[in-house]
Amino acid sequence: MTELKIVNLTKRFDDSVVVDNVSITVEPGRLVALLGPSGCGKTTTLRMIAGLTVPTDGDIQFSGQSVLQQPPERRNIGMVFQRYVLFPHMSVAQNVGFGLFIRGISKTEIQRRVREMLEIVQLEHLEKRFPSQLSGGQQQRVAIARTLVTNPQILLMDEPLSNLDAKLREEMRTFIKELQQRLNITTLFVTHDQVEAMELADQVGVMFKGKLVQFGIPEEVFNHPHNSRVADFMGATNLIRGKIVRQEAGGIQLNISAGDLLVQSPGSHALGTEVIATIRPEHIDIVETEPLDKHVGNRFKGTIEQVVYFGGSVSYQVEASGLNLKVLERSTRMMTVGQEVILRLNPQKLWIFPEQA
Amino acid sequence: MTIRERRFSRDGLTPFQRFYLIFFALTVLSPLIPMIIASFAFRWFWPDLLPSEWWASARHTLTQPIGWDYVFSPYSRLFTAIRNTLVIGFSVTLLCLAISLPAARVLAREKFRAKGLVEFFLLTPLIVPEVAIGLGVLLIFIQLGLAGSFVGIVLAHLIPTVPYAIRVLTSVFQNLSTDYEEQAMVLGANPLKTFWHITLPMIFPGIMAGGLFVFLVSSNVFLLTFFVGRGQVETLPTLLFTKVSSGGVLDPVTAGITLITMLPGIILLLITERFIREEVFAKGFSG
Repeated sequence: MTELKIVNLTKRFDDSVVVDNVSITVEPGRLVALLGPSGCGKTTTLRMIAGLTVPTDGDIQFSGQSVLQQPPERRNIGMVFQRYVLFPHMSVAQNVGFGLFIRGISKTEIQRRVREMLEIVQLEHLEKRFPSQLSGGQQQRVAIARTLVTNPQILLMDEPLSNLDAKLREEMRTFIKELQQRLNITTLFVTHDQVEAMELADQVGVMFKGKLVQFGIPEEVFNHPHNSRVADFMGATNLIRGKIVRQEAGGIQLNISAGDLLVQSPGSHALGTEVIATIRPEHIDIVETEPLDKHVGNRFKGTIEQVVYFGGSVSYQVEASGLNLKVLERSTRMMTVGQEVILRLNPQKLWIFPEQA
Repeated sequence: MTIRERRFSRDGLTPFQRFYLIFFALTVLSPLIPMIIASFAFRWFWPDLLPSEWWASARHTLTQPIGWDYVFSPYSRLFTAIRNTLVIGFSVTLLCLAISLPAARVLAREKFRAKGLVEFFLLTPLIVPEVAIGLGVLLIFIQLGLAGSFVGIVLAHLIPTVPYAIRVLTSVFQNLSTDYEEQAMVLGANPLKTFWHITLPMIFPGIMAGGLFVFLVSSNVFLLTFFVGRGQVETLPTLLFTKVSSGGVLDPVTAGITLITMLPGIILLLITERFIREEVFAKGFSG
């Protein structure tokens, strides 16, 4: 098994820095997800590891050995592209066997290993088909089989699921996870989907504008985001601007446009600091009438502006004295647009971050 | 509002579309009709609509070969011209593709300084009159001892064909995502194997389309062949020119050779039709 280590990796194109001093270590046999919005440099990072893009600075090491001087074909890596990239002029069997064919392996050996691999991805009945005759999910599995058949020391996946429909995506997620664990292959997986990253990865790296902002196990990144952008990207999409007015053992009190906001968050901040408080839509309670216990804080009156029904849950857009909050409620009841409601923001579920420039 | 259903015939065309296609076909094909008649005529004078005497009836009354008999006789030098045209045409095509492929690849994929200038420069042979090029090339080739030779003609034919091939192949490369080549490299193929096993098969239809047009241009170039060949190397266009200037357009031999001249192109078009349809009609002549 191979350890993948990138050290201070940097890529500049003309004046723009696409990947900025990124260091990540993927332990042998682990799966790390690189998470970030499009254009954050995650794909460029992957391409540099594959040898398809030359880094401006930094180092890439497989098990402690720098591979910078090796061309892609010598690195013995597997890479699954976003668009599968099956060779259209070759059958499924030829596609899967290409890596072995190019290494000069005997015909019978190629046949045996291709069949074995197609069995693993459950496509042995399609070996004579051509890519244009396959569905998206099948093409994806052929692409994965083609990549794994050469026993690569490192597997790189560039948004491999983004072209599949929702149901198939879930199936393929489980499939990839199982396969990766069974083959015990060091994997770096690029995605912009936080759910995908959470489900698949042993560790998650979050990238913004070329920088690695946070790296850790999924629970940590999900529950303790380092800044409001990570929080936003991890689904805490409500951003509330405010100023710290009081700080005591029970928590921090913010002054926001709608009044006072209590946050039970660790750490100390100077009074008067401008901060951003974030909360997930599912952590806001929404009620039609005043709750009995009037001592519970963080209650705001608001008006429903938009309702989206998801079946099993309902999403509301609520306007509360200058605050525009998204609320997700697991319920089958539905309130209507224009209705007056009361929101309660759980102080324990609020995080605060210094305001970004 | 109700939508009026447009009535389509069995071939899926509206009456206007069918009329348009037939009209188009007639415009292209009708000039050939007098040519075909002339090739079978013996006497055909104005204002007769058809010849007063045909080749088939006149050929037995004369001792020397006339009409089609003359065309296929050694006197016409037709077979020499066909052979020369084919040899030159295929040489030009191979050489031209070998030059154009790497250039097109770079133009399609790389950004470099003065790229626009290079692209413009590639068009200049299509802008400068052929006579100017022909005379200039002849003067140089006389110095080099290439005038009047096959090699000289092949080199001269590269002038109008290379810009054309580069433009066609550039659009072929622009339509080929680099993903395929990158995937092949990641799978362990070095650049040469990647080109041979991935790039070449994938752009093959484009190469066939480009190659066909290069061949057609080469087999139709008159001025350059005439100048550089100094009349010593006879190809179909130069032979045709000789016949037209000596016998006139409606001379049966001229008409016959004209029809024969069309054959290589038609045969090649039929052979490569499958590829051309994919390339040219799907992507157009954009470049």
